[in-house]
Amino acid sequence: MSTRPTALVLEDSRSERDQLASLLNGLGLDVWPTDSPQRACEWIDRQRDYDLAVIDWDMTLSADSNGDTTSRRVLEALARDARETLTVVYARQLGREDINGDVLRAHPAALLHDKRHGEESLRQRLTKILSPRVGDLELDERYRIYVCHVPSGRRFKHRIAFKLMTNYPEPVMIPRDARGPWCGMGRFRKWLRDVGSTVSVVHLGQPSQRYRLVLEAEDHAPDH
Amino acid sequence: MRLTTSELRELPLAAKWCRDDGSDIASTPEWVDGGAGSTQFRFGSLRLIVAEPKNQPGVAALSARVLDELDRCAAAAPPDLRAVRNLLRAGLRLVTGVPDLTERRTTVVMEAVRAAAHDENVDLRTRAPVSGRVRGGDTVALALKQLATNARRHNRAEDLRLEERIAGDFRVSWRGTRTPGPVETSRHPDQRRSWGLGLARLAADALGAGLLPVRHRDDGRSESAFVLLSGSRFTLPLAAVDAQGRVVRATRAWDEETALSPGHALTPELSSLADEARRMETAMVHRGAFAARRGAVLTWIVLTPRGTREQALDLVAGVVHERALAGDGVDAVRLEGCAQALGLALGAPTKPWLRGAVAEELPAACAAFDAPMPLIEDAGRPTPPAPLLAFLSAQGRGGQLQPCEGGWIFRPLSSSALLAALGVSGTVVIPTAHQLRPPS
Repeated sequence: MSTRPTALVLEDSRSERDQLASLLNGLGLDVWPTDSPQRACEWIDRQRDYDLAVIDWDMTLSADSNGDTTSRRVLEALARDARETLTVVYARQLGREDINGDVLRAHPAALLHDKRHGEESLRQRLTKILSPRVGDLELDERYRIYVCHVPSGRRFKHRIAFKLMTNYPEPVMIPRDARGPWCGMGRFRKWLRDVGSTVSVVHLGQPSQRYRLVLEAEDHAPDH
Repeated sequence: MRLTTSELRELPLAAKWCRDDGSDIASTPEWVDGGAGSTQFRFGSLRLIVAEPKNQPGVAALSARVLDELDRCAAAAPPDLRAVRNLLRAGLRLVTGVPDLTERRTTVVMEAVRAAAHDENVDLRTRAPVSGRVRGGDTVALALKQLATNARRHNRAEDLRLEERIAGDFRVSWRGTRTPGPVETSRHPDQRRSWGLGLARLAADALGAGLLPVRHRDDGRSESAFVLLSGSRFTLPLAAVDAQGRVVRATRAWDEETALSPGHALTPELSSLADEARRMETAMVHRGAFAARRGAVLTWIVLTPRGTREQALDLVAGVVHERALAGDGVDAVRLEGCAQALGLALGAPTKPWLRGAVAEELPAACAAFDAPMPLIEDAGRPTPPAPLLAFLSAQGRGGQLQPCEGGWIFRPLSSSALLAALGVSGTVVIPTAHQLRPPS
């Protein structure tokens, strides 16, 4: 597991793909860019825990559209196999009824952002999404892999902490065989106790491998 | 292909033949002097002038407006996008029969091809060109870019290279799947499936160039070629067939379009057209984009030239296909609105847009057109796109949009020549279902 938050970028225009990669790099993310829906599906299949996916809809310029000139298959794969990946569809004509419907049918939870608003608008939106505040914790503005305990100024670095923060209040699932995240989780829980944070990590009960952040005041009885 | 004076009169077109000095030689029975709109072809020292089948001033005016907006888009491009916008401009001017013949330095042309292909994920290596300048440089670049992207998409081309073999002889070569053969596209939009290679064909006609079939070389590479030729070509796809339905004589353009060179039997569809023409004495018959007439000895079949309608169809398709190249600024909104209006004039369906998205975009679109905000009835329902509404409101100095069965009605506050092309009785009907309307 990479130590930096990861982002999948599917964009068929090379210049726009390069701009997106640069934008996301600037937000502290490790970017996996491609123009190929097929390759994107393979990556999702192999590594399902991308933290963020920025997906174009129209794939006309891609060499391997395979008869489908949209990113439908990729969005369906993300919706089905990578539910914790925050997915943003960054495309044109999202206001068109048929395109809007097709996108949301492929990935009902996707956020939509029309390219007409410009790259700066996307950057602002992603910055807001990637700047959650949970209790007395927030992500470092420049290096989002760091979780900061605001009262003490101390910082913790691990992807699992980033995932818990950006998914809050939803849970994060950790595969049984994922040693890196398990180690990171253990260290993060200890760090939260050490800094005296108002936030802790709870397990949502067996057999689930799901964990989430809770605030001191919350009722954190496990879900069933 | 040679034609006798009698045969000149037999072609299945409303046309006349002139000499270079403008003096008439012969005309077909349907030719009427003083008609508006025509297409011209060079045939050696002669010119063939083909009349438009139907006068469509509204479509022509809207097409001209789209081209004006396109010029503004190209002029407003930031430096790093200028070459790509020039290609967009060249392509869309090409399909409207006004090719860009501006001479460019050949190094600039090769670099424009490389940059445009690069953005479409096609990596192309170029060699230093042989010639210094090339006529219609942007149009040549457009054709070469299409050959490269086509090779990548359909031949899985790797190691793509562009070189100028001798002056004006451009070759795109690659390693990939082996599919030799003719370039499968058409001059006529009704006869082709995709946009890209059609541009290369039209570019060849406009510049007097040859678009050669893909061939395999002895070194294991495949190549396609775009070769500027000296002298003009007769680019009308025309064939003469005998009573047994065999092609007896044909222009090179006919071979390119149909792959039915002399000696070949017609396809069942064209054979049926020829049979119908033989039954009709000397009147013209039409089947889709083809026309036929029985002559004294042979029957003539022609792929009818692209008129105002076909050019406009290609223009609308081109603006949609190359949308990303126009950017997202004010000029792009205006270009989009005018192209959507042109599509409407051609009877194309208008896709509905979510009311919220239109509400968000309409103020900026109206500002782009310096138009008042139109009144929209039945808030909440989908509407036509914001650029189209802004265009209509600009033309009508305001107006009201109402839903109706199968679409919407726009009632402008005042009339304009362009609005007259879109509607009658002071209203513009905007259908959402695909309803073919006769152009006004």
